[in-house]
Amino acid sequence: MWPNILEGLGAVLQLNSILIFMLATVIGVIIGILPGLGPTFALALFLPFTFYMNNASAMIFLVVLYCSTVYGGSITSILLNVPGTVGSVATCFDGYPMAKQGKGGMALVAMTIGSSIAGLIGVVGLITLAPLLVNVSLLLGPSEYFMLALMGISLVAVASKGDTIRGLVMGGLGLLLSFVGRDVVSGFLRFDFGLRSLQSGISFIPVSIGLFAISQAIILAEEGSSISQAAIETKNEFLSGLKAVIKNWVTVVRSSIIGLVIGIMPGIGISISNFLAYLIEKRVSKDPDSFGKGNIRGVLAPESANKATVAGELIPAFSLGIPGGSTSAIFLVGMTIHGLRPGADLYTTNATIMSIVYWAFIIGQLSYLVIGLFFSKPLSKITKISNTILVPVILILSILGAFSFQNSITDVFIAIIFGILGYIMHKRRYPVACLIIGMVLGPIMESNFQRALLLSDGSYMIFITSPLSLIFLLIALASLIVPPVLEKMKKRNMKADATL
Amino acid sequence: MASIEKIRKIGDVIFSTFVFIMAVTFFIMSFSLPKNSALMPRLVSIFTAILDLPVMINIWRQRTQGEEKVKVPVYITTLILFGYYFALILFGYIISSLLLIVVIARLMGQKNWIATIALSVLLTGITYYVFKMLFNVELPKGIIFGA
Repeated sequence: MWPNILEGLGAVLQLNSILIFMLATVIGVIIGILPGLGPTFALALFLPFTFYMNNASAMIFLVVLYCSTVYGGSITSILLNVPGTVGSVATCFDGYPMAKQGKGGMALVAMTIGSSIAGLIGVVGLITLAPLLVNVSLLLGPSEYFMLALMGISLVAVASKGDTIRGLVMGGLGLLLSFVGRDVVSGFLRFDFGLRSLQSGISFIPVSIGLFAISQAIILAEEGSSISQAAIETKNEFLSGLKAVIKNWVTVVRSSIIGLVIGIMPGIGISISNFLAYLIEKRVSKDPDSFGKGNIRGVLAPESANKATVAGELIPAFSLGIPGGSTSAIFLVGMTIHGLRPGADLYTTNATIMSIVYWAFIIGQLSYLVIGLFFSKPLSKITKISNTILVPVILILSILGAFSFQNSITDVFIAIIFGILGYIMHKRRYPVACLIIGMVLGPIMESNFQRALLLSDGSYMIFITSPLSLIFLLIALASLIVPPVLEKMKKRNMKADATL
Repeated sequence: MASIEKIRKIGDVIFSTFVFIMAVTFFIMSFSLPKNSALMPRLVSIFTAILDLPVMINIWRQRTQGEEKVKVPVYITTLILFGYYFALILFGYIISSLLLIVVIARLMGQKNWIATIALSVLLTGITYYVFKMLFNVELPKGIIFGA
């Protein structure tokens, strides 16, 4: 094992590899910043370019591109309230308020440092825990996955800003939208209303571009001026960001572990881990009311979780060939094309390539750390750019993002419709994220629901007789029932104290 | 023209009603599906409709409060976006994007024509180059000018 580790390190420190690191980081961050494109688009687009590279260079390129695209998506979450990926949605809750207060630079620095640390924790998990944790994921059957997805929706509804009931309604709407098109199990066509454009379903990429990016452009057009009216705090933003990470190191570590564990469960991924980490952080905080108003922990938690999930998603991919999400699926395709078969072979015959992959992950965290810290100051000035410039930029990039996904003008129309809906949702306290999560988890929920019923010969008891399934269900119910009950008790106590 | 808060409330009423109607529609349509394909949509549509009902009633009852001054109201941006969509189909990416940027910038108060046109040309040009040449995305050419 040690000779392989040193060989891997030697390969990544060559000049050729360093150039690939830099190129992949810059491309990844730029693509990450563009709304709706994200790591899936980046990997799909650049995979063919790796055919002309040797195995080691190809793996370095893909790993670093993946990591830096996820990082890039977080930048716009903070500065523009536009998440680049679904894994950065929760970052907007506190990141954007910080940018409006002129603390965008500090938030970026803290996010960059925290992300790098979380990414390194994720890599350590990938290297050391893969064989152990894969056994745990094998315990999850269809009923457990269904309940896990249900728990995910309820946690997101509770964690999101706005009314929980409205969040559940949005989750339900997202699920209904995911049912349009073909049944994931039988392939039966349904809810297409006779329209050919709906037969392949409603893709969540143009929906999320509309809900987050176009709606934000509409809001900025209403507001005029610029995002931040406050003076930008550029003095010592590096030091204040670093201090924030050091002070909240527990948040970073805790959220990284949450992200790693979630990442291991195939199909759940960064769409849930950032919310779960945010919710847990808010729950354990002594000052939960400060979340949503610019609390740095509200940035560090989701960002640490999603960076660790990036590595976590590759654990079942490498060990069992089961991708954790669509991005890790494309990554797996890339590996297969370069002759790397998932499973035991990776750790025996291809041990040197695997050590290169691990080193690429480690150095990938450092490469976007350098780029992020170097550019955080100029990037934070985006919040001072006049909305007269920002609005057309966001609109054009959003339209291009929606169109590029499937080269379809229909997706542009969908994005515009959801842009208007997203505007209403933002202004009227509907948690937008719940709709997206419903759409993402819909196919997972339905396929596992149907499979569970097949296994149990149609008996619904399977969802509560399995211990893990019951635990997930109880967590979902507790997250919905306990907070309002506690709130009522708190108000009753305050009333009683006031009368005394 | 109605105040922006009234418009948002109308939007809210339409949206919550649309969600309810959609849930009911999916519930009804599920009866024409095979059992396995119908089950989850049926359960979700019942759940969504039941939860949306009090939300809808609450919105209908809410009074519009306050007034907010806005730069470019949402109904104007909506019209412009739909106009852009049809312009994309007719004229293609370049012309429709040039027009969109000029219109939005002027509405938002950009008085300097040179700056407006420069922004429009630069943004359209750079994005065209990056997406068409680097990413190899075939951008809309429009019915009038292209195949």
